[in-house]
Amino acid sequence: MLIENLGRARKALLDSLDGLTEDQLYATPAAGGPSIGQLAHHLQASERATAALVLDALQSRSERVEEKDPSFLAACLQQGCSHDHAVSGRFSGAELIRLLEESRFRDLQSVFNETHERVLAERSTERPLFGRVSLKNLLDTIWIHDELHGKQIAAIKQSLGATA
Amino acid sequence: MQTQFTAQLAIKFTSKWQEAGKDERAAAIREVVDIFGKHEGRVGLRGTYVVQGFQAHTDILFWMFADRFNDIQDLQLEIRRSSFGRYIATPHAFTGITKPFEFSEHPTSFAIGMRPREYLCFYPFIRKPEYYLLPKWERKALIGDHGDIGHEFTPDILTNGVYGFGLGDYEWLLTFETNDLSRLVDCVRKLRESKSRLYMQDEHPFIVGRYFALADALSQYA
Repeated sequence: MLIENLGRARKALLDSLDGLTEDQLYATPAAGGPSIGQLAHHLQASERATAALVLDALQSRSERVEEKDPSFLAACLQQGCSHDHAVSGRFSGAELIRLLEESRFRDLQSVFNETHERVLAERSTERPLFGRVSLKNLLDTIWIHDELHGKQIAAIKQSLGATA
Repeated sequence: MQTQFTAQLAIKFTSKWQEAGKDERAAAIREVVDIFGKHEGRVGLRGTYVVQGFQAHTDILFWMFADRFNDIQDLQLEIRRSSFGRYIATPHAFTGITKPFEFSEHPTSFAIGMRPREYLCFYPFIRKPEYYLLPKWERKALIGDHGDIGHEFTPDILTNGVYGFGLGDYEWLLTFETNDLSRLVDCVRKLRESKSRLYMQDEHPFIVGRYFALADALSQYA
């Protein structure tokens, strides 16, 4: 289900960015925290970094570990997601969508051009946030991350009166 | 990777289409839109492509996908039985299935959440029998070389390769998606330098089209 989850969550994220003005993208949420534009930028940067980690980990030998439940990965992400939102410059909605598509079809697809999902489930790496985790689970964090911040984006949109 | 069926259905309007009145054509288009609406959730429509100006054998190419082939076939049969079906011929139809490739997963662009692009370039192909008799390492090297060329063009060109073995005359069905036809030409030209081309037996027809929403695509000919 890895690929289906990645596709479903990303489609919902891209749809949620459609039609937002630049003011809406960079409005500071009433509750504080990052703007929609900063969250979208953060998601594409995280996807690139995760894909690079997996490609790197594929180069070395590692053991198989038990699959972790998505709820565990989500809880870890919620606790330890490092929100590096120091984005230099404001990107338009179209540019953010382009960046998200680049991270998806260039960076993440590079992993799938390299190997199979079953191999990713058989290999692992050590990550501070999750402990020893399978490479498949590490890729799971991309769609879980999209969903977590997707909920945040929906809440911000609602507070701004933007169409959900 | 979850397997899914894909279908490329090429249609050509017969002379009866122009003989029909404007209202009849509009009603026939609405019927097709309703049929796709009825099957929503079971059959996905990746895009409807207007082929005018690219190839004379086809007017419209539908690109569909579904978990079950029967859902795609039921939808196509409903189109054939509809009033719209009276005005069309079907010059080409292709069915494929998504599966992991031999050496990597390589999911389709629509499976991993990429949006459709402005243009599609589709072609089915067959490799020479000798290809499948090569040692695995040699096939891997050939595919790797082919892939390296293709990677130069990502993400400008999205690639979608699916299996066609046993489902038709072809072994593989390949669809490129792009917003830039010039990049498509460069990519296809550069792929001619791949050694894997030595094992290409047949690749036709090419079908190239421009993306439109369903009703808009059909209305181009109304």
